[in-house]
Amino acid sequence: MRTQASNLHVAIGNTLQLIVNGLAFGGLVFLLAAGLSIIFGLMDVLNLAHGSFYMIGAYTAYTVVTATHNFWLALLVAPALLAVIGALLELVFFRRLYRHGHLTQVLMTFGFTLVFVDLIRSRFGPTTRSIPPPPGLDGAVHLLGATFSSYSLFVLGVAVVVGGALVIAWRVSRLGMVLRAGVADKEMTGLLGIDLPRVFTLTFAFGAALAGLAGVIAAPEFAIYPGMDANVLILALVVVVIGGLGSIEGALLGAAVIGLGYVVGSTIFPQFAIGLIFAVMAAVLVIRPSGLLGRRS
Amino acid sequence: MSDELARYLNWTEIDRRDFLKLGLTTAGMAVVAACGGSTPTGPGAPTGPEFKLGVVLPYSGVYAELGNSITNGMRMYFDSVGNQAGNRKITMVTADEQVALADAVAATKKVVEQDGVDMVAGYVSSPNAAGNRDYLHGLKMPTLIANAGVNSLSRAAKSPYIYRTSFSNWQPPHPMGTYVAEKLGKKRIQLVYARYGAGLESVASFKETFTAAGGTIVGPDVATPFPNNGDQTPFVQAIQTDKIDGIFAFMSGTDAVTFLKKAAELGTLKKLSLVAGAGFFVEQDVLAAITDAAPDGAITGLHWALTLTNKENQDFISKYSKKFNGRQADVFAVQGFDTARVIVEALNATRGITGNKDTFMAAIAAVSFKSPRGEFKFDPATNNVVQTIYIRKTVKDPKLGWTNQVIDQYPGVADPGK
Repeated sequence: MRTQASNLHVAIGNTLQLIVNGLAFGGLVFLLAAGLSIIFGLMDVLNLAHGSFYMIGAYTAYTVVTATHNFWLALLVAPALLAVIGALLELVFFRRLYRHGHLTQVLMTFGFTLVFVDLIRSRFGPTTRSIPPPPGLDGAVHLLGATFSSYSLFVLGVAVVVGGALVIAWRVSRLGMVLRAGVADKEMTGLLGIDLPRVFTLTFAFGAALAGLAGVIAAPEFAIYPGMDANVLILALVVVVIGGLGSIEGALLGAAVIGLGYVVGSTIFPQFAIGLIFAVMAAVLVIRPSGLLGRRS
Repeated sequence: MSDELARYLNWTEIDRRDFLKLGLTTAGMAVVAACGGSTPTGPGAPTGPEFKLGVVLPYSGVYAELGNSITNGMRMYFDSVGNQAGNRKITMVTADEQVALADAVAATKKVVEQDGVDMVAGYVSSPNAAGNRDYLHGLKMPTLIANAGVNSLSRAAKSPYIYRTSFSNWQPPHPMGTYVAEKLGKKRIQLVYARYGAGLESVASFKETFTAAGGTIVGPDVATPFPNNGDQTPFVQAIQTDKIDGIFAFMSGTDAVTFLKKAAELGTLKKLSLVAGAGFFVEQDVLAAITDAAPDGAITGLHWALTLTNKENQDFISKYSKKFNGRQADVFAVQGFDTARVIVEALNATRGITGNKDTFMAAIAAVSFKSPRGEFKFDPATNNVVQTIYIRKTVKDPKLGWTNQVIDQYPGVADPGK
C-alpha cells in the first residue's frame, strides 16, 4: 500500500515536472510568436527578422549583465532598445513593403537576418556566450516530489503574466480594438479615421520589444551565439501557424501545444521530439487550415 | 606532371613585390654578414613556384569558432617558418565550409577548380569530410583532415591521399572506459550524448573498453537531438542519479553549454560520484561560457589539455595568446598548428616537389615531431594520427580559471582501423 502510494506520488511528480517544463519552454516561444503573429495578422508582413530581434535582446542581456551584473536592468534595457530598432526599421524599410507581395517581403526580411547575424558576429565574434541566471533563480525547487529549475518557473511566470496582459489588452483596450479591427479589415479601419501608419509603427515596435524581452529571458537558459535566432524563429512560426494568424490567444494556445509536445516528446521518444512538433503542425493544418483559433476563410 | 613542369618553367616570372622582397632580404643578409653576425642566416625568399594550400573550414554558422581556431593555428605555424618550405612560398586560400555538405562541396570545388590549389586541408564536420572524400580521392588531391573525426575515414573510406591530423572519434573515449572501470572503480554508468555521428561513435568506443573491464551500462541512454535547440531539462532529468555511479557524456560546443548549465541549476551532477566524458564536453570553449556552472572534478579524455607542461605546449599557448590578442589556445588551434607543420615538413622533405602525388604522400606519412599535444606521428595502417590520450580533471585554477588538469595518460593510442 505504501509503495503504491509513493509510486503514485512519483508519477504525479513526474507528470507535473513535464507539464511545467513544457509550459515554460512554450512560454518563451510565445513571447516571440505573439509579436510575429500580430505583425503578420495586421500588416500582412512575414517578418523573418523577428528572430534577429530575439538575438539582439540576448546579446543586450549579455552586454548588460557582463558590465553591471544586473539581470533586471537588462530586462528593462533590451525591450526599450528593440522598440527603437523596430520603429526605425518600420519607418525606413517595412513601410515600403506593404504594397508588394510576400516574396519581396521574405527576401528583404531574410536579408535583414543575414545583416544582423553578421553585425553581431563582427561585434561579439562567433564564440558561444552565456550568462548565469539572476541570483535567487539559479537553483532548483522541490515541490510535490518533483524538481523544477527555479528559472524555468520564473520563465513560466513571465509568460503567464505577459500572455494574460496581452489577452486582456487585446480584448479590452482601445489599441487592442484598433488592432483587431485592422486585422479583420484594413481598408475599413482606415476609412473610419484610424491613423493606420502610426498604429503599424507602434505595433511593430511593440512586437520587436516583446522579441527583445524573449531574448533576455532566454539568455540564461540557452547559449548565446550568432545564429541562435534561426532555430527559435522556426518554432515561433510553427506556433503562429498552429494558433492562427493574428490571434494572441492562438499564439498562447499554439505555444502551449508546442512546448508540451516538445518536452513530452523528448522524454518519451527523444529521437522524434522535433518531428512530433511538425507532425502536430501538419495535423492542425489538415483539420483547421487557418489554425486552431484563426479566422475561417 | 605537365602543370608542375609549367610552374618550374615560370620560375623566372617573379612579380615586382617578390623581387623587392628578395632584394631587401639579400641586402639584410649582407648587412648581417658585414656586421659579423654569427647567427645562421634564415632561408632567403623562395625561388620555387608558389605552393597553394586550399583551406576549407567553417567561418560562419555554428562551427565558425572551430574554423577560426584551426586557421589561427595554421597561420601561426606558417608565420613561424616565414610562410615557406622546400623553396616554395606557401599561400593559404580559404573557403567557407559553412555547415551543410552542399556548401562544403562548393567550397572544395572552388579551391580546387578555380584557385588550382596543390593541396587541401580542413573540414570540421564529419559529414562534410566524408562527403568530399570521393572527389578528393578521385583527383589524388593531397588532403589533411584537421578536425572531422568520423571513424570511417581511418577505416573503410580511408584514402592514400587523405591523412588525418586531428583524431578519430574512437580515440579520445577509448582509454576512458578502462580508466573509469579499473582505476576509478565506477561500474555503473549511464550514457549521455548528442545523437549524431560523433556522439554515437564516441559512446560506442567508451562502451567497448568499459564493458570489457567489467562495467555495466545502465539504460536507457540519454540521447538529445543534435543540435538541441530546445530545452535541455527533460534530458537532464532523464539521468537516473539514484541508480548509477556516474555518466559518460559526449556533447560539444553549444549543446554542452546548455546541458551543463541546466544540470548545474537542477543540482543533478552534484548527486553523481562521477561525471566523465570525451574532453570536448568540458573543453576550454565550454568552460569559458559556463564559468562556475562547470562540473568540478569531471574526468574526461582528450588528445590535449591547456595545462600540459611540455615545453612545446607552454611555448604554443603563450605565443598563441600573444599573436591573437589574448585569445586562449584551444585543442582546435593545436590541430591547425600541427596540420601546418605536417605540410611544411613534407615540403622540406621533398624539396618542394609535389608533382608526384605518391612521393609527396609518402613524405607526409613519414612526418613525426613533438607537438604541443606530445608525440605526433601517422599510423601507416589507417593514415590517422597516433597520439597520447590525456585523462584530465576539471578544476578551477587560480591563474587560468576553469580548466582541465592532466592526471593520467595513455600514450600511442591508434585507431584500430576496422
